[in-house]
Amino acid sequence: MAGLVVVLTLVLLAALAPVITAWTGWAPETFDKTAIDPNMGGLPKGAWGGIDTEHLLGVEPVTGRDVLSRILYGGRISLLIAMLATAITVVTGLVLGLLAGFLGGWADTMISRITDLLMSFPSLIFMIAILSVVRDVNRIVLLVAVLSIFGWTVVARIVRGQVLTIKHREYVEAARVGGGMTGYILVKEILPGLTAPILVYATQAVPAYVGAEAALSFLGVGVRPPTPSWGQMINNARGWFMTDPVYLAVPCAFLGLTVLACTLLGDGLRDAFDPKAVRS
Amino acid sequence: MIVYALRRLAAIALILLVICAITFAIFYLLPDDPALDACGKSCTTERLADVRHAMGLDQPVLAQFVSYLTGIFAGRTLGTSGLECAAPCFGYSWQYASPVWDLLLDRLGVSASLAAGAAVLWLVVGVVLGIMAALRKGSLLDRGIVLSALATTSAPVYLIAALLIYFVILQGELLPFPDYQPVLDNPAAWAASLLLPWITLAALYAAMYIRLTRASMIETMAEPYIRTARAKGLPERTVVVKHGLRSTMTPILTIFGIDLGGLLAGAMITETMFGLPGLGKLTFDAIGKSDQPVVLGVTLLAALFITLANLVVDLLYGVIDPRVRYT
Repeated sequence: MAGLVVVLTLVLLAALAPVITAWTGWAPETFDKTAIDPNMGGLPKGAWGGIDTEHLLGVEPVTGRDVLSRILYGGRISLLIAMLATAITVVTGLVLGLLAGFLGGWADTMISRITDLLMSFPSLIFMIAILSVVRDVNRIVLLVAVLSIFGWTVVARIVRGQVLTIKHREYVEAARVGGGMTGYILVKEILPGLTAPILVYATQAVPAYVGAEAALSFLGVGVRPPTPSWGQMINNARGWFMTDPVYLAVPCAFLGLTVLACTLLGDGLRDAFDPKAVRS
Repeated sequence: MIVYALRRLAAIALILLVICAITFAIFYLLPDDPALDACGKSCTTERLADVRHAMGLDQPVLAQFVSYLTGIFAGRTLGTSGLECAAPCFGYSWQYASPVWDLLLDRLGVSASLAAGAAVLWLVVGVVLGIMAALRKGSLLDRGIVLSALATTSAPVYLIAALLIYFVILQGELLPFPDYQPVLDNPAAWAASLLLPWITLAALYAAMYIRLTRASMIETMAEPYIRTARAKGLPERTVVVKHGLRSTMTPILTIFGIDLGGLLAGAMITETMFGLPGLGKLTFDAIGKSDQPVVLGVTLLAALFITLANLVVDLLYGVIDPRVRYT
């Protein structure tokens, strides 16, 4: 329950980023030379990374940009990429997994071989390679694309396995004997049985993709400045953490909070769907 | 079982060939021209053509691919540059002025040391804590372990690395900043230089192994055959270790193989944070300079490790769990 509340809060904060920044008065790209100390190499004035009533989460060293506002706008990018990638992987994996499990034969062989192949790919290296050589493409679209290419295989495997166990259950046989069309059986009889594992998977995929986006941006091949993202903020903060640790801690905290909340939500969902589980 | 292993090896060879072809095609199709980088700033059209010819880049893509493949097994001469590249030849890095294979071997030691030490650490910590939590399910100890596992999984690797560097190296001055030493030269310095990277990487994985071991162990200990073992009057220790742990290990081994296989080139962030000159760092630098032969070489090597790790795991299944049959 706590997980759900935190996830919703984070999404709401990201969605309302323009409203909140209008209220605090600091846009993500606005420089604030008064908040930094040029004599200290551009470090924020004051302890704790320049946290005060004006800049609630401190400011960026050198530029004095408001960290809160960059976190909120960065969260929009990070969460958007993660949710889009999750949606695409779930839909693709669901369709291909259903086809493989239900049709069997050559469809199953082909889809399973492609899954094997993609799972043998060193995906991180490959993603970085593609991201670094493709230049003039929208970074967000590109990130979602490369994350999805390697992500759907997991869903396809889960779905295929589930379909193989479900498709010979009595109620599916009954529907077929009753003259149900293939499409009808797939949507009405088999799909409902897949809801639980897929929902649980999705709650784990979102934080995994938030983390992956952060990793790729951290390695310099993800979202490009001036667009903020959490990974890119962490990358910027890497050179500063010895003198301004708060600047690194804030985006890390948001990243960690997202992962934690989604994990709790996923655990809760799993327990709720699992008839064997006893709530403690 | 031998037939099974041979069939899997053939499949691995095929997968590697396809990965090689895809990676090769992507680099060939993309607009980045390695000759342009090698040619330097004052590059004229004629010089560029010369460089392309010397690097063998003016050949048709299929010819380049075939000569790359034969080079792996038989070695080859690169383009018309007269450079000999002995087997196994994974191409030549113009950036480092060195055959890619030498670069890979050079960096493999660092990555293997990092991966092996971290893997031992997280496997031991994860399995031991997971079992302790499972055997005392619901107790204070269990809750404490589960909660700290949850907290560590959520902590980003950058934060863990930064905290360790900040408190252990800068504030505590307990360790010097990692300066990698080969294990054979000086084992103590080797371990000291890798201790913090090991902890960072292990923290990332241990939490997941705790959760996995705990869940799997709880399920196993509820099985009827455990009750039978207890009813026979076996000591609890034997019940847990010989009967419970054995079937608990099967799912953990699967994940372990996949994780370890992916780790060799996948510890890029940890290597970057600690400045370790491993395969991840090599790849990262190579990508930044569009040193395609190196990226291709690392991709193939990493894919080889992933597929081999999966094979080893599948073969070990039969050793751990006698119910498994190879088909």
